[in-house]
Amino acid sequence: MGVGGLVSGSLLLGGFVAGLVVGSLYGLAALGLSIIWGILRVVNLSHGALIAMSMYLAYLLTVMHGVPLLASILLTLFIGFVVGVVAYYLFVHRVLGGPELASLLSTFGFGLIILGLLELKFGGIARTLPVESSVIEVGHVPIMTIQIIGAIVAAAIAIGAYVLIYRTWFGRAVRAVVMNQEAAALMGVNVTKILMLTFALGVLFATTAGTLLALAYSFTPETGSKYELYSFTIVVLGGLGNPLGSLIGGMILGVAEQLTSIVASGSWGPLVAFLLLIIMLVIKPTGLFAKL
Amino acid sequence: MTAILSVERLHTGYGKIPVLWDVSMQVEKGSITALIGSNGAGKTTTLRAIVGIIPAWKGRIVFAGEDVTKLPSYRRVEKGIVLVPEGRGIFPQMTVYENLLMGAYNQRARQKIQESLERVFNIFPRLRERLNQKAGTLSGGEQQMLAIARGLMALPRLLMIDEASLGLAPKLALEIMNLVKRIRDEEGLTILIVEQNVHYALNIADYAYVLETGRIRMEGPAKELAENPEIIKAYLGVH
Repeated sequence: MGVGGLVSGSLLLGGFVAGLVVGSLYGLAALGLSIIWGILRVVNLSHGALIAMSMYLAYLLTVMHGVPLLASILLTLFIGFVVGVVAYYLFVHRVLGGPELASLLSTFGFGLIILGLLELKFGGIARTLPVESSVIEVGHVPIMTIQIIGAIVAAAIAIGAYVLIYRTWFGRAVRAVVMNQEAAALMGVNVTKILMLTFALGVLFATTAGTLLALAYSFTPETGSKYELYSFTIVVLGGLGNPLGSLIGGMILGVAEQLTSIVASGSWGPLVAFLLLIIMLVIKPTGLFAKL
Repeated sequence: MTAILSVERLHTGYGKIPVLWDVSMQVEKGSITALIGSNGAGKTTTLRAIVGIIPAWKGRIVFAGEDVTKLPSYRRVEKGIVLVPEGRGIFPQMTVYENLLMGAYNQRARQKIQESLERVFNIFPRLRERLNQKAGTLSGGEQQMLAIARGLMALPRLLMIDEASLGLAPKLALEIMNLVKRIRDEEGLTILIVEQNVHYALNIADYAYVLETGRIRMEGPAKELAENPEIIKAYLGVH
C-alpha cells in the first residue's frame, strides 16, 4: 500500500482506527470465552461454533425467512441465550468439578454438533447478510458505518459487563462463587443458577459478537474457528474474566491485524494473533488486566 | 423455652461413607447450644447438613416448625439458618464492605442493610476502620470477626459458628467467645457453636451435646457437663 515501500502516516492512522473498530468486536467475542473460563473454569471449545451459529441464525431469519434485520438480530440473541442455558445443563453442569479433559471433550463435542448441523443445512459456501451501509474513509482506509455502530455496541456491552460484575448483587455473587463456592452457598447464593446464567451470558456475548461481525463480513461454518483463535489470544492478552481487559485486548489484536494487513498482507492476521499469544505467554501469562 | 431447631435421627456422610448415625438434637430459642467432640467426630458435618450443604440420607431437620430437610441451602439461608464456616470462608479479594454485603445477599437481609451495618459495627468497631481493606489482608482475629459479622448481616434466626477459636491466640479466642455470648445476651439470638476447645464452649453455652464417632454420646446443661468426670477426663485435659 505504501509508495516505494513506504507507508503513509494517514494510512497507518486509518489502519489504527479500523483496528479499534474491528477489535471491539473481537473483544466482545473474547469476553464470552473469558467469563466462562474465568468463572466456571471451563475452556469452552464450542465458542467458535457458537459464533458461527449466530451468523447463520441471523442469515436464516433474514435471508431465508424475510424477517427484518433488526428483529432477526434480536431474535438471534434471544436464541443464543436459550442455547446457552440448554447447553449448560446438557454439556457443562455434569462435568463441572471433574477432570478438565471432561469439560474440554464435552464442549468440543457440542461444537462439532453445531458445525455438523451448519454444514448439513448451509454447506461450505460463503454467505453474507443483506446489509446496506455507507462507508467513511479514515486515512484512505474505508470503514463501514455499520462496523462503527457494531463497535460502539460491543464497547457498551463490555463496559456494561464490567458494571454488572463489579457493581451489582449478581456480579458480587459471581465473584464470590469464583473465590469460594461453598462460602457463597452459605451466603444464600444459588450457585447452580449463577453458573448457568454465567455460561448463558458468555454464549450471549459470543453470539452478539458473531451477529455483529456477520453484518460486515462474509462467513462459512469454519469462520468461527478464526474468531475462537482470536478469542484465546485476547483472553491471554487482557486477562481472564475481566470485561475491560477483553475489550482492550481485542483492540490491541485488531490494530495489530489491521496494521499488518497494510504493511504486509491481510492473510497474516492469524500469524499476528499467534505471535501475540506466544509473546504474552512468555512476558505476562496472567494477562495485562487480570482481575476478578 | 421452645426448640427453634430440631434434628431428628439424622444420618448423613460423604459419597458412600457414613459420618453421622442417628443424630438427634434440639436447639432452644435464644440459647447458646454447644456441640463438642474430638476431631473427626462429625461436628462440622452436622452443621453442614443442617444448613443444607450436604444432604440428609435419613432423618429430618425441622426449623421453626417447618421441615427443611429437602430444601436447598440458599432457601434455608433465606429462612434464617446461617453458618459461619470453619476456616472463616471469607472472600479474600473482596473488601471488608463487600464481604459484609455478601452476608446480606438473601432478600430478607437486603431490606435492612444500613441497620445491619450499624449493628455489626457496634459489636465489631474494628471492622468499620477496615471497611475498604481487602479481607485477605486482615489478621486472623479480624477475619474471624468479619466472618461472624457477615453471618449477622444475613439476619439469622439461628447462627451456627464452626470452630470460632481455631487458629487464634488464647486471648483473642476468649475475646471472640465473649463476643458470641454478648451477641446472644444483647440480641437474644439463638446460637449453635461447634468447638474443639471444650472449655471455651461449655463456659458460654447453656446446653451441650457430645458427639463421638458420629453419634450423640451425651447431652445436658453445659454447667453439669463441665463437672462431669468423663468430660473432664476426655476433653478438659484433667486426669
